[in-house]
Amino acid sequence: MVSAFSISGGFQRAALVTIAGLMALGAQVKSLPAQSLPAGYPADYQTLVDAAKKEGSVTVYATTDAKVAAPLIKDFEALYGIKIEYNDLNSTELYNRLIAESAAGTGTADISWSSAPDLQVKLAADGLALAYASPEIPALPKWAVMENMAYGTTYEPMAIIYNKSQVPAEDVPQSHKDLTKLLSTKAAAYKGKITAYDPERSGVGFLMMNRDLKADPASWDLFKAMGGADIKVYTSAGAMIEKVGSGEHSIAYNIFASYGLLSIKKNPNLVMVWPKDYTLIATRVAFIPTKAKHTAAGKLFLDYLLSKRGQAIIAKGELFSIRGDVEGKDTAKAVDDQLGDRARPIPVSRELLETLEQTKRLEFLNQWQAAIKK
Amino acid sequence: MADLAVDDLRIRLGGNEILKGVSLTLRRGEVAALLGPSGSGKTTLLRAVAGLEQPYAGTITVGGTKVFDGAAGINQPTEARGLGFVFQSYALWPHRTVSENVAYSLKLRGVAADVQRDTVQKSLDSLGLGKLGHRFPHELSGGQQQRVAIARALVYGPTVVLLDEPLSNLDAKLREEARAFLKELIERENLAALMVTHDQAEALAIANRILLLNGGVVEQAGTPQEMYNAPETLFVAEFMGSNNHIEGQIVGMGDGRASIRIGDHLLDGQARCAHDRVGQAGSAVIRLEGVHVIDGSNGGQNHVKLDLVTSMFLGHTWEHLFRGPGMTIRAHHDGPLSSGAHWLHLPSDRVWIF
Amino acid sequence: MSSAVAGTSIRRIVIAVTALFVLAPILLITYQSFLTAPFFDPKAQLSFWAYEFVFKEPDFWRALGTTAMLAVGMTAIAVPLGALLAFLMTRTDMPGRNILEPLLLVPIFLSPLVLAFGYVVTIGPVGFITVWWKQYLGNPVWDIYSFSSLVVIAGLTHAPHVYLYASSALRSLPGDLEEAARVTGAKPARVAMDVSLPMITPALLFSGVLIFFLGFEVFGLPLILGDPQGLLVLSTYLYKLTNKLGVPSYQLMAVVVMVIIAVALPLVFVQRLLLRTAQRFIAVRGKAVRTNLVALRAWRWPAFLLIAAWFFGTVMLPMMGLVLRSFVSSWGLGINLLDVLTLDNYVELFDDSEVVSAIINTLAIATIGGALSIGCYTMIALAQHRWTSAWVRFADYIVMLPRAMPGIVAGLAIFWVFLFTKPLAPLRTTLFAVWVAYTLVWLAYGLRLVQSALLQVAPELEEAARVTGAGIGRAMRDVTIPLIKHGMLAAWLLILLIFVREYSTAVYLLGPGTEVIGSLVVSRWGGGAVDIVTCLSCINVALISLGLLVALRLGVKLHG
Repeated sequence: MVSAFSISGGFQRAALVTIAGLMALGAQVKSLPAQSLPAGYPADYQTLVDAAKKEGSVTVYATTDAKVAAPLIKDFEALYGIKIEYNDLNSTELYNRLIAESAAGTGTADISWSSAPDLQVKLAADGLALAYASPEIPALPKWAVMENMAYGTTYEPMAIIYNKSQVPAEDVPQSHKDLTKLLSTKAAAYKGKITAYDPERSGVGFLMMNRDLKADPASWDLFKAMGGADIKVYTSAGAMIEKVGSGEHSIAYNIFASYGLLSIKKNPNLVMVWPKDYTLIATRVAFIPTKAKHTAAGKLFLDYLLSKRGQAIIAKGELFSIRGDVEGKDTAKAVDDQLGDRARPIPVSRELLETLEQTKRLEFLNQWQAAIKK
Repeated sequence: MADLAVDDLRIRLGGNEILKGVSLTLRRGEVAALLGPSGSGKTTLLRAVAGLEQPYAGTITVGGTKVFDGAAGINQPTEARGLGFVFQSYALWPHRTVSENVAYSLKLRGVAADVQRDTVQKSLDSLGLGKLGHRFPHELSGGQQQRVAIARALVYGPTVVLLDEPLSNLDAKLREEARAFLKELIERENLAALMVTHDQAEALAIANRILLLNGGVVEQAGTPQEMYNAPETLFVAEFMGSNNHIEGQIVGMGDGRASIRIGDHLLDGQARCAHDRVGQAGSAVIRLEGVHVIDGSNGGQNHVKLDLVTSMFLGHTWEHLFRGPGMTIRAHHDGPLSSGAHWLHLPSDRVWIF
Repeated sequence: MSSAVAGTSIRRIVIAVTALFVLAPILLITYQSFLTAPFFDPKAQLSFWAYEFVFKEPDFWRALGTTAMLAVGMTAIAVPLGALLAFLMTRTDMPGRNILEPLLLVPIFLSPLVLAFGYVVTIGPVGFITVWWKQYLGNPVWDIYSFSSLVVIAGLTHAPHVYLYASSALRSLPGDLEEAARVTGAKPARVAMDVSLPMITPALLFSGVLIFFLGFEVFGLPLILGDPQGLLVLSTYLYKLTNKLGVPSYQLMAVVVMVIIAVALPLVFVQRLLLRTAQRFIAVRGKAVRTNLVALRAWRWPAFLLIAAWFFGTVMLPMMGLVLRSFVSSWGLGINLLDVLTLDNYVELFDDSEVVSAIINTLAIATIGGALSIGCYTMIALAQHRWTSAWVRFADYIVMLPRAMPGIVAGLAIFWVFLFTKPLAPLRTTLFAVWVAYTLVWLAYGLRLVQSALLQVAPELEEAARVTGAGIGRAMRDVTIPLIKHGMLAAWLLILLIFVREYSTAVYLLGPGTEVIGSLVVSRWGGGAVDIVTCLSCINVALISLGLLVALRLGVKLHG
């Protein structure tokens, strides 16, 4: 754990550690009771806390709605007395801002937290993420940590959402296979009724369809069936759910369960299904940008986000906790209990870079075009 | 020394040569009228003197100071030329009262507020506007507006004042009063005034000197009497008064005189063309008031007999229209005439042959 | 001497500063279009690759074709309709003109994104009007997602732009021309066709060119209405390019912007030609003549109904959908709206601290920012005022350029400029940056408002000040500006309303402290929070209506 500090490059601190280590004994008692440090944290973690407090604030660029994140923000601010500057962006804007600001050298966010794992992995692979080994690593699944830089923070099943007033019980697709069958046998009845992210216009849509193919090569059959049923593709989950809710469409494919839960609450006609053959698990990826101004505060917030305390709030906010040790209905534990070994997490790793390769991407899009052509 | 001198001024606007080398001089106490048909460049010349149009060559001197010199690259901005300008539309600022309109130039010159007030009041008083200072321009009559415009132009004591058709927005009755008032004012204040007008009667009445412009050049310049009585060209003759214009063939020339044949008639007159034009077409011009109706002819020179077509009563005189083969003549006479043919005398010293 | 030189150099400085602010983002985009990577990426190389890529895309050509058709179609609808509205409103005795007058401009102040969504709720495939229709009249005769619907809606919503130009031209038309036609025996319709409208041809052509150009940058309508069918226009194609290669490819977006600029510049040229004639018609000189109105007789009420129907279709229909959606938790097939009525959406909205500060910021940027913008526009207009110079022609061209960038690109480019210009960098995260973006994007529009006020000032009023001894600057301060005060107030109110409406430009400048309603709507729409979006939009529309009401109470004439 001590090595974490040498990696994190806190060289100015390295010199201070010995002095601070002595002084901290007294200081710790005043600022923060030592026992409030989570179990398993290194003894000198307090130095980081103090440095973060000195920085005073942490700027977060996130795709998670400010409203959903509000309890997290409040709790973190109460815990450490460090202010969070929360910027609610979409994943493309977040990416654009981060690369431009990093290049401009004017400083950028202290935490980048996005629901587009491929873009986050690319940023990390391009050297825009700071290497920092969080003390929470042992509590996380291996696939959720990329080279001590980028961390998966949630465990969100990709669901099918349907409108029960439009889809009779016998038609309800419980799996990808069911959906393929339904759309190919009742193409006329479901003409224009199925909807999904447009892989051409939406990065998330593209990634998910690629992961579908990885999980099940037969997915092309599904895509072709969708084309046969005159699929309507969108750029925003909001538009899809809204239109399934209104009955304009009946079934929305590959929707984040966190969105699904929110909409189900508002519209009793909406029902969410986690496909029984396999369910993709998406995760919101966080890292500390190398050009962050407040790296200590960034580390502190990242650790908090991954901590049991932070994850419990994430679960309460229906974002699905990634930690196996958090209890509740919207947690990895609950999801795994239901899915067994059929969960297919999308790993936070360089593997995702291949979805961004231009030739492969265009090749897939051509195939997709061919598949949905009538 | 002239208070205003313009020398060989040339202006081009949008590729068109508007002024092709115009010169003039003007002294205090003098009124020069710029006369000419529309498009002759008279307003452009006036505006150029004020610096509102941009010449490309020539010089303009105001009170001994060169304000424009195309060759030397001198070009003072409008506001530095210290001129008075009365616009055709008066251009009174609608958002300022009469006093504020007039006081503006004093304010610009940093005159103390109480001095401003006195000067403005004196100026308004002298123009008969004493009680109107607090009003807004739209609350005044046309004649009053004109006087405010004059007060505004003169209040800071410029020596040269430029007037752009100052009387044209007044009705006929008011115009004559204003004419006299303006002339008196200019003489009293000892100003050098340059005035644009398209009305020859106005120019004759008010000006000491007239410049008749045509197509961007001075066609003729002189005193009103010279302009009226001794036009050098047909254009000037036609422009300066009410004329009879008769087309014929020049049959003889010599010794400053010429004769022209119109049908059966032969008219003698003063030759107004430089070259020997015998045998060519020519024009005889005579002012309406130059024609005399006579009671029968003694067979004298320039007597013609024409039929009376119609008569008009003008108040102080009558105007009669006569017509015969090859000529139509209007004449003034102090009484009505019986219908039928009448003898007319066109005195040869009043007939100009061009 | 010195003051004339100083006057000219101030003019030059103002135009140069304008050019700097306009050209910085444009040149950046131009440069970007010739690179292989983001301009700030050290790996970026000069190349035509982006052009090759875009021009090889069948989607690009399809989008270009669709856009051209859309532009032609909406011009064909908006110009005759706008001219008719203008004729009825200014030259006839149609009833209810006073009520209709402010309403006619409302579509200009509604965000198309929001309008489009409103249409989906009312006359979309399961919209409540569609559902009623199906119940009683059979299958609906319209398909809101079709191209023809898009053209019709775009045409109807752009008619007010034509109305603005046509009505001010008609107002300055001497009434005796029409009376002469009536006396010789022409009916009102003939008078309009044979006399009034031909007389304002330059104004109509001018607005036609404007509408055609606006056709190239409509975004909100095709984004929502074209989404399900995959209908692409240039602006939405550009949006698609953002994701096509997985990571945002600025060079591709830049190429599309270059294409739009290439279309825009000749149009500016045509407009300048037309304006020379049009201004003769628009400029009001001398006294306003009270003219007799054309009596419509039996056609009075049909004419009124026609305008009312247009207003219903363009404003009420989508607004009904929007307001309805903001008061329900769900809607559509199998849902009884009475069961789902709720105020929760609004309660939730005001719980959101971002929303509250967005509303405050929007009001601030619209009122204070709008006033500052008008100040800038006035300075630019005065710099061009009564000056014949190549500088003025240059300024005429550049002010149109920001409009050629779709709002989202303009926002991104301005974000870059702020980011990479060291002295500006600290201002980027403040409302100042948003204000700069808005001021730039609406430059052409606002400038025209101020210029049309300036046209009303007779030149000799300024010259009179000059000859009495005032320099150019002094004459403008003492005479010109006081005389256009009312025009500036009207321009301020219009800009205020436009700023309240503006949505996509500020997205890249969005952050704590710089939230505005428009960018929040876009960002929340992306996040799927339809409830919040509709509530916010309703609040936005309410603010705009309030602004209009205040404007009218103050007696502000909303047109030239």
